[in-house]
Amino acid sequence: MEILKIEDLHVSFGGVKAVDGLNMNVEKGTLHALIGPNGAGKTTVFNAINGIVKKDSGRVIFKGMDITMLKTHRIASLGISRVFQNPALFKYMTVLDNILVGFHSKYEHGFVDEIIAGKKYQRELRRALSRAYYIADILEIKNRMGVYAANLPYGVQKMVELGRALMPEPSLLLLDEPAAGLSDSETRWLLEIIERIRNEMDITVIMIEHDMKLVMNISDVITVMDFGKKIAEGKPNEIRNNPEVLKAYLGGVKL
Amino acid sequence: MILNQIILGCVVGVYYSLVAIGLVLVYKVSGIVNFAYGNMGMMGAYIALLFLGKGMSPLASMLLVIPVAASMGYVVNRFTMRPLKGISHSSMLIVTLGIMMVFEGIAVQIFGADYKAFPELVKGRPFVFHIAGGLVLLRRQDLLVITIFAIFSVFMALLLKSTKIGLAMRAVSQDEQTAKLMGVNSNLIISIAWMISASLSAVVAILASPKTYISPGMMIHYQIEGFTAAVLGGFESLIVAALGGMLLGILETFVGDQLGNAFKPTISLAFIVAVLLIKPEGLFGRRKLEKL
Ligand SMILES: Nc1ncnc2c1ncn2[C@@H]1O[C@H](COP(=O)(O)OP(=O)(O)OP(=O)(O)O)[C@@H](O)[C@H]1O
Ligand SMILES: [Mg+2]
Repeated sequence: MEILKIEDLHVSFGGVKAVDGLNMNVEKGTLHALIGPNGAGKTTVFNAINGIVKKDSGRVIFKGMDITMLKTHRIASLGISRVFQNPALFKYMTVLDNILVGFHSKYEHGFVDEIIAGKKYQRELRRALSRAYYIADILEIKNRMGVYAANLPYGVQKMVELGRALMPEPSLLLLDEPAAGLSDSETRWLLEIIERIRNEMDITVIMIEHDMKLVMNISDVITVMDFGKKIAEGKPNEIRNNPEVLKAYLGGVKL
Repeated sequence: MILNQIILGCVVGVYYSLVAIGLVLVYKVSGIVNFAYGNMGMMGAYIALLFLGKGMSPLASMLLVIPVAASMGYVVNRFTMRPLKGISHSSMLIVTLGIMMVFEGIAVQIFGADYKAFPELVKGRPFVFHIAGGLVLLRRQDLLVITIFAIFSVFMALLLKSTKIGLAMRAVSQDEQTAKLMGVNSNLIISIAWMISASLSAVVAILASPKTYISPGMMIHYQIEGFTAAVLGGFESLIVAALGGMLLGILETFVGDQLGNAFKPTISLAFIVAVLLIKPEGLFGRRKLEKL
């Protein structure tokens, strides 16, 4: 069963056709990689799913529901989380507060409960905190909870962003180049975590990534884009030897 | 004597602090310096006067104005600021200046330009304190303002620190796009900030009106002083803005005492220029990395 369907998606900026008629199905429970050379339109696909960029045409279907026209915050609330290519943490917030923002759509209490600090508010706060610490434990950032995000090393910032994205128990996680800028050991650690996210947390992952070793290692399906179009799709070993793909990368990266 | 002046200065400054907090709140969440802010409060004061004319008590009139002012803040944001989102800062400034003048025009048309009295919310003999050999006279209304300031500050601090709305406000103020991706309805959050801000302005106008009288231009002075206080903190921090208001009040009191009242209105403007020349990011502001 597919959790996400992208149908004939077109996005352009001025004259640039960033995404040019993309069709893509993502099966529930898989780790689906989206690869392609720089400027291929991968990030734009994520932005279109999130409702950040205007789509010229096409549809995005999430769990059978047409989300093409929904507002960004509504799409997020439906269970689609995003981790950015460059960490976009709230700099002047602590790690804990950053992670808690991720829980925003899950709180069940209203404004009045907050004002009177009622039982419901306290219960919800406890629920958020316990999830925050559960995730921080997995990502090994528990001892950083009080630190301001701007003061964290790059690798840790990426972990915090991942933690924030996991807070609302999303059903779909969009990872934009999670390994970029990480050291080899951090990348190995990330690989482990991504596998846990898919297997234990039961979250479908779409991952944009340039690190081919990582991609070939953990992906169930790979979609390859070039100039806004899909040029190949399949299992890692099918992609590895696909002549179209080799041509697109033109010796840039050995698959 | 100095302590005396400081206390009196704080009594003056607490109004500026409240104005500054409302200005900074909206700026932080939506990036808009709202010059119409004081005049939204001025409209609120006139509406309170209407309630008063219907035989309501001053306090009831003020409380009834709060939802009216909140709606006014909502409407101004919803139908002018939100559609204009994304235009340059300077254009936005002109728009809020325009709205400020529209409010003033409406007030002149409907209510006339003459000064109208509004009673103090709490009556009674002023409190007299003997401090450091001098006498300090505090009107009950002044103490009420200080109390309201204290309560409001605690309210804002708790709201921003530990509630989901407060956290969302902080998130939107730092990075609206990312906040949206976390499921935060940023338009709603911005609306809430405008509603809080407009209510605050109305409360300040009503509390100040026994001193200033109600007139279309009654809030201009407060707007400027509040703006100055906000600049002291680089439009960054609510706390610094509040302290800045107090500081201005104290400064004004000293200048009035030492140099004469004629210098009072110029002092804050001279101060703002000096601060911007020496420390453009605000007296206590940290260097800005981005919008905020
Ligand atoms: N907001 C924007 N405004 C204008 N052009 C844009 C915008 N976003 C992307 N583009 C353009 O669209 C094309 C696709 O960009 P996109 O960021 O989606 O590529 P990408 O596959 O993510 O590349 P990379 O691997 O370098 O991250 C590029 O030509 C880019 O310049
Ligand atoms: Mg990209």
